[in-house]
Amino acid sequence: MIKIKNLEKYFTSEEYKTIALNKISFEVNKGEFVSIMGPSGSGKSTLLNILGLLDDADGGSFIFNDKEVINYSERKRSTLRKHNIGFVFQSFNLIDQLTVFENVELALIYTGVKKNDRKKKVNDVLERMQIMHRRSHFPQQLSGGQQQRVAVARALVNDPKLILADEPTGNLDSKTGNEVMELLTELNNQGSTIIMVTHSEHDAKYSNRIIRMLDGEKVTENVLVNY
Amino acid sequence: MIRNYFKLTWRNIKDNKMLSFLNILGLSSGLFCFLLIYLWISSENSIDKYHTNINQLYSVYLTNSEGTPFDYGTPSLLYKELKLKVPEIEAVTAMRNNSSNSTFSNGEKVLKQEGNFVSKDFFSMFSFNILEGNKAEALSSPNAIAISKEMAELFFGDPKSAIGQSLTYENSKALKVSIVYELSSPNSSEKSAFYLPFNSLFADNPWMNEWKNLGTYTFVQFTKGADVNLVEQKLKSFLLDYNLGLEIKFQPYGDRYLYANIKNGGGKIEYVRLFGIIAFLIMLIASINFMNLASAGSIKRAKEIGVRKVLGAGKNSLIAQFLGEAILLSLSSLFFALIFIALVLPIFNQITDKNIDLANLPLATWVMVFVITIMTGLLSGSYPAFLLSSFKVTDIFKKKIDTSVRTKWIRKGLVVFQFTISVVFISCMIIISQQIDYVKNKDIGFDRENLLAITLSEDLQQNYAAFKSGALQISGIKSVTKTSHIPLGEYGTSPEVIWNGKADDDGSLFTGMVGSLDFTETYGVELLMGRGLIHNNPDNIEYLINETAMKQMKMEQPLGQPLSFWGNSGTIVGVVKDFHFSSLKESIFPLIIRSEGYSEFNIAFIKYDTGNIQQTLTALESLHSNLNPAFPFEYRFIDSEYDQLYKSESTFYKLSTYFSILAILISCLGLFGLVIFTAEQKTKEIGIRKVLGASVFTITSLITRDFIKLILAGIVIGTPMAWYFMNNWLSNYEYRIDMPWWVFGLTGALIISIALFTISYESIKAAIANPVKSLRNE
Repeated sequence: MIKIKNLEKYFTSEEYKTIALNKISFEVNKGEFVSIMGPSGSGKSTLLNILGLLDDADGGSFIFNDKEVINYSERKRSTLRKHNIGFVFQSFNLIDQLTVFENVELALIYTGVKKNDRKKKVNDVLERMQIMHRRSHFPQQLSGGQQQRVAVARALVNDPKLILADEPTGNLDSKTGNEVMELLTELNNQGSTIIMVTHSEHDAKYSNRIIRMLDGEKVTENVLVNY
Repeated sequence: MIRNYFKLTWRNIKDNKMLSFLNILGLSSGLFCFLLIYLWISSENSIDKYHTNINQLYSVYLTNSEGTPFDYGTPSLLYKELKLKVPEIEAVTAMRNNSSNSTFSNGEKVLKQEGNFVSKDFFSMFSFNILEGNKAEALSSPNAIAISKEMAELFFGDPKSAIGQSLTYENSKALKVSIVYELSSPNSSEKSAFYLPFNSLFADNPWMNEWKNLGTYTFVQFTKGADVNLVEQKLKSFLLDYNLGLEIKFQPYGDRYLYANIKNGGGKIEYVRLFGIIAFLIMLIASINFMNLASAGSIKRAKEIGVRKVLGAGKNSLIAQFLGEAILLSLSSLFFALIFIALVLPIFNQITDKNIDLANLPLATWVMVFVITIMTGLLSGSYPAFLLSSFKVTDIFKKKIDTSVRTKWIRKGLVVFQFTISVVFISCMIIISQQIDYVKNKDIGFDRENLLAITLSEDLQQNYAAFKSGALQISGIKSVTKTSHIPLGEYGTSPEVIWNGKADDDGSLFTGMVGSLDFTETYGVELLMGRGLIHNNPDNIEYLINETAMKQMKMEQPLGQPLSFWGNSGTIVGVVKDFHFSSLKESIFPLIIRSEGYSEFNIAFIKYDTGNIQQTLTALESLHSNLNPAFPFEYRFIDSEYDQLYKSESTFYKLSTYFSILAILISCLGLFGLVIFTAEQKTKEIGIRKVLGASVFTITSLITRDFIKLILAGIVIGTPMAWYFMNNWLSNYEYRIDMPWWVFGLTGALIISIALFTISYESIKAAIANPVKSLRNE
């Protein structure tokens, strides 16, 4: 499903250039649950942003569903993204002014789903995430675990081929964190492909495969693949 | 999607109450000014445009042979000749204003009314609602009178009973009401209570037969499709046949109201333009507030933008969303603006002498109001929309968006711009008020204080001697004279002056008026040579001239020299120091005052003591009714009439004062919002500084310093601009103040104080906050 080869990413400021991703290569197959681990600054989030088509790479190849997308325009990336990829963030990133229902619905609005279908889909996914009873609440009225459930619901509502999770338990206590991890595992068991960035060895154990990244000072050269 | 935006906008308004309040208040105030001015401008623009034949109606004016516009005054016989000789002209009317109000009586009822003399075609050219009578016969008989609905109601109760009734004109002439009309639109510059046949004027005013005497207005109606420029070309030498070296030109009748100053193509249009600029600038200030507050606050929206982008929102859809929000906000501001407008409209109408009614606005105006509002939303929303939609998702989630740096320069520039405008507004406003004061209090060469004018109707003209001696016996009355004009208005001019040594090609124009015994004393005019007028003998006419006339005639020893004005030979007996007899915008014209005249010789001037004016007036009234029982007693105070000359200036000043105050208030509103954001952004810095021991004063100045710099920049840029504009404006006046430099200092001080006041509250609040709290928040 994903095949990256020699992927490169630099950050340049006025004075110096930092290499964030240095010729990194790996593959993720359909139905896999892969964790990416590494200390802060190792480039995991940068990698996830590129995999999620939120950011562009400076070199290398990125094949998504058999298509080379490395040179896709913002518009093309956006289209590809909204139909194929769901995101779960550490800080949930729910819009405070929208209710649970509306937050989830937003993802369907941008993919152009009709209103009646939207209602059904949102209700289904909220039911599945067991958060239906909170559908009219605003994010601030929910616990962290509940907020993350809403975020997962939003990530799922478009039936994405790939779910990207960026430290999904980072803002949660361990009990709620485990619940979220079990939720992701369940989704994986139902066929979703998941790539998760995490600091937690505990969380990583839920996945099938761990890709370790290391930032040697400024260069991230080593890709450690460890089944 | 749209519903989603609506919901979100509404919830954003609710969640950011302060920001929304500032935004809506600013935009409503801006829209309020803009729409009010727009309503006024569209009302001004609609004046006189309602006539059915408006595209064919033109005013005649004359130019000299070089094409320099002269005046609307034309020869009184021109209308007949034009109709006779110019096939492109379908209809013509002459018009003369009555120099003062006319007295009408019917039985016991005696009333003064203001009206015009017009010729036969008048009612077919201009649109009126004819309530009673036949339009074609309105003025066909010499003793016909057309009266307005209001006048009919005054005399006869209603239009129906007025028709065919008789009215006595000036206690002598019996007239018969031929038609009763009503203005077909309130947007008319012509508001006569009656119209009398123009023909009837010739008998009493033989000078009207002379082509050289100008002063009658002529209006023409061209045939459909006539080429007016071509007709002007054809008529280039038309007046030469009547020994008049002037050329005929046509001005569209619809332009006459706004472009009445044909000499320089100006008139009320100048105020329309000025207010248009003011409206636009105020709207810009309000929009800038919105832009600044929205961009300063954009950090708060960053997460939302990030989420939307992740979920697939394109740049365009985000731009549309933020523009939509801005439009929604401006539409809600429109709601408040309209409420404000409805509240102040009565006062506004009073100040501007208008009849604007929100309930009766044409559909087109409403459409424009909405278009303006939406444009305002687009303008205000454009910068935030492009700014916010350009955020990169990865930056947002890494919290790398530092809007304070990114947009700082634009925001600073916009604040400088706002205060530049405020500086210009305020200094201009003060300078205009100085000039108006100067004009109102200027020594104009005659003493307009304690001077009363009374129209001498029929009987009083014959009994003037009795009136004068009677008046002089009333306590408080110092002197009495009579003249032909009130020395504040438009005078006719004439080249028909002959003096010794006049060159053949000398076409100098002179203004003429008629004076009498005690003229110089009553007017308080200074005599430079000779004496005042004494005799009133048609065989021995005496002339007074002013200094300018003396210079014009190049006379060194004018006393005793023969002079002929309008064919009346006499002798110059004195020279008076120049005095102003029209607006100070005009320079003093050569003036000839003669001791005997025609029937226009009809205004008595009375100089009184500042004592019990009411008592003096009561005594004068009883004297008047004894001598002239058929006419109502009517008097005018010359000083208040003088103030009327500057009415448009005064109105302009009043309105621009209000608008300037609003402009600076709106600017401060924006400033207030920015200070809140700055204080928020600097919370951490303030906390650290406080922990390290900074005083409240140091921290307050840390926040205010940057803003004061911006305001100073505004002052530095605005001052020369204001100087430039005001120097231009003042040059319109023949008599003007010197540029008062202190105004700029005062403006600067005023703006800095207001701004400091605005800033200080939030700054001090930030400075005295508990540092532990601000650091914990970080």
